[in-house]
Amino acid sequence: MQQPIISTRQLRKIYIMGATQVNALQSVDIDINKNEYVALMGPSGSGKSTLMNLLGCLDSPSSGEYWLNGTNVSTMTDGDLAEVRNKEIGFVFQTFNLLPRLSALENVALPLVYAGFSKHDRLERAREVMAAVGLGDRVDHKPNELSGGQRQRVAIARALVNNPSIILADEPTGNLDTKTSQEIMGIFEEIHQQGNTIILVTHEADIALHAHRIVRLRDGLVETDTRNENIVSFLNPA
Amino acid sequence: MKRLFGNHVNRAPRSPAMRIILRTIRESIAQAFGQLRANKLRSFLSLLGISIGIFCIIGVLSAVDSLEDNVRGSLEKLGNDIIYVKKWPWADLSDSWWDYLKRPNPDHSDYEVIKEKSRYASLTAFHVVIGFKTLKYKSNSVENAVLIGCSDNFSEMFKIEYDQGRYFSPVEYHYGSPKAILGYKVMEELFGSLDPIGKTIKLAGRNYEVIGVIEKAGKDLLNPLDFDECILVSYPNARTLANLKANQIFDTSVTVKAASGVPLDQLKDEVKGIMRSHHRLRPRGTDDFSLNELSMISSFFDSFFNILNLLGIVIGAFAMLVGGVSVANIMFVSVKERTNIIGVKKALGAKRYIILMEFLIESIMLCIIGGLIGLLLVHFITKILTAAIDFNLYLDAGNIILGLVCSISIGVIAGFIPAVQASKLDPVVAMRQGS
Ligand SMILES: Nc1ncnc2c1ncn2[C@@H]1O[C@H](COP(=O)(O)OP(=O)(O)OP(=O)(O)O)[C@@H](O)[C@H]1O
Ligand SMILES: [Mg+2]
Repeated sequence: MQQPIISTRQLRKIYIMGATQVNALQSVDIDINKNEYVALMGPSGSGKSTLMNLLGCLDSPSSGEYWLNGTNVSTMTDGDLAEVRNKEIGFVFQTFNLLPRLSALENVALPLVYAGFSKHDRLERAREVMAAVGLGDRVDHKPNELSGGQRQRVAIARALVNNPSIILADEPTGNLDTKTSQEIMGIFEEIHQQGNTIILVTHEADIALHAHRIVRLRDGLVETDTRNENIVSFLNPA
Repeated sequence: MKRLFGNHVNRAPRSPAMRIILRTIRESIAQAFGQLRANKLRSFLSLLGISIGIFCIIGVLSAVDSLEDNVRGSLEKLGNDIIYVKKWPWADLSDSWWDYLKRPNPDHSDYEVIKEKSRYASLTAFHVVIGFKTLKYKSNSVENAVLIGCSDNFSEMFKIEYDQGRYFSPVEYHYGSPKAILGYKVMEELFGSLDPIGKTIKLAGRNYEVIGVIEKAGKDLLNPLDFDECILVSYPNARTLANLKANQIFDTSVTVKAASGVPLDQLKDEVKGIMRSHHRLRPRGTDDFSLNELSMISSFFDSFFNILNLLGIVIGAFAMLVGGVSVANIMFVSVKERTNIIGVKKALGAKRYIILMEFLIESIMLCIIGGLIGLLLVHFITKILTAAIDFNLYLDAGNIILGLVCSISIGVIAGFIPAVQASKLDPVVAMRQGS
């Protein structure tokens, strides 16, 4: 049995707002192996985004443990977490979160800046990934010159550019129409096919069906954690 | 199937930290210019404070430097190694003014005694300013020419240069011949383009032969040895023109030049002793003369310039404070506007120091631009003034560097808190701010 890439034990996140405290996550135990494709579902406020932020090292848990690639990151310092985010994690957000002043290519290359690659290497690698998501001819466009689907592809390219261990996507299709959502899901499927590990938050059942494993949260707890028996796939149509 | 999401390219970066820092610097500089372009009015107003501050500080310092140079140069013509024995002191009139007034003027006998007895003097001279006189040559006349009676070595003492002619010969001096030496302006007004040497002019109803013309004075602000409006006659001759007793009002000076290698204080002590015994002063009595030297005037100017400098620095500091506050304000707004971007950058792996540097450099850049505008202003104004008032004002490298150092410091101070605030933003919270 291989070591899981993600492993959490009694992971807990409490937000204190004045006198009241919100138990965003009560206690989450979850193991995710390399090359798994997991959909995270649950009602609004169930703690999906909170869990994603913890898994993505954007936030530290109130208590509990989080092991990423065999290292305990729940006790790491700010600077170390930044390095982990840069090297191990690729984020895809619902609102794309591209930098408006930079070109698509520069946006994609940004994580490589913080990794310290030379300009030549950065742009070469960024072009490669841009081509991979089908935007080889849009490298010089600014984000506001691109459609929603194209922006999300740029964001995906940016998430992939550093060869991270996991791709975290919080409602990546939330701002997109059905057709574009399908295209984006196709790209995720390809990425998964290449051996990447993907965790995806979604509200929509048909989006979740692309994943191989579906985890449901409720009130900050894992409610169900099941294998997806009828995977929808573009690559091997049933 | 295309194999494009290939695993690990893994080209190890060469010197990552340096590269990140350099890129951040470049990006922040671009960001600062972007800021200027995007918010022209707002940026202009904040930079104005910095510009005015630098302008005040560097403007005043430059002006004072230029003035100081000029004045010091002029004063040096009076001689660093010369003691002026006079009735009035040049500085420090603090104690009783009345006592000074009652003193006699140093007179020709004082001069003779010092000349005879001083061992430390290389040269001793005497001159008396008799006052304004009217001169005539044919139909031309000059009013208010300053008449000075001079001892035989006066010319040597002040290293007077002649446009034409010469100083009194020993014989002319001894017999008090009616010969005169003219200042340049006096000569011009009397003779125009005529050759003045050997011509006869009228002074107080008597005839004088012109034997020399003193070179035109320079254009310095302060010109202690400006003979342009003077007429020089020998002391023996001057005595026939006016009653030059010590109790008269004429301004007389005995000047004593130190021999080479003799400290001025030593000469001073000696001259003091000679004067006191010549005037028969009691051992405990106060002096009835003043021994003046150049450094007394210099130190007066020094304190004057220090006050000017202080004034410039205080005004400039206030302007800089205002400028600094407005740059800090710009930076706070900037952090607020870019909160989402900061969040994204952090999510992608930007460490705190990178964000900190980004905003700090932006703030420093803004202040440097403001400072450069101020320096440019100083530069143009010195050029204009130099051309307009015929006096050499300049902005030197030291002051330019000082101006830039001030700008950078203000940039660091103004940008520090906003930059720290930005660097401490929680990426999750920051990214939630509208994108
Ligand atoms: N920064 C915060 N401060 C205080 N409470 C928070 C904060 N972030 C999240 N919460 C609370 O934690 C709970 C879980 O929020 P979370 O964003 O994880 O839900 P979610 O499952 O992602 O919901 P949605 O589907 O609407 O995105 C909510 O009750 C929310 O109000
Ligand atoms: Mg959410």
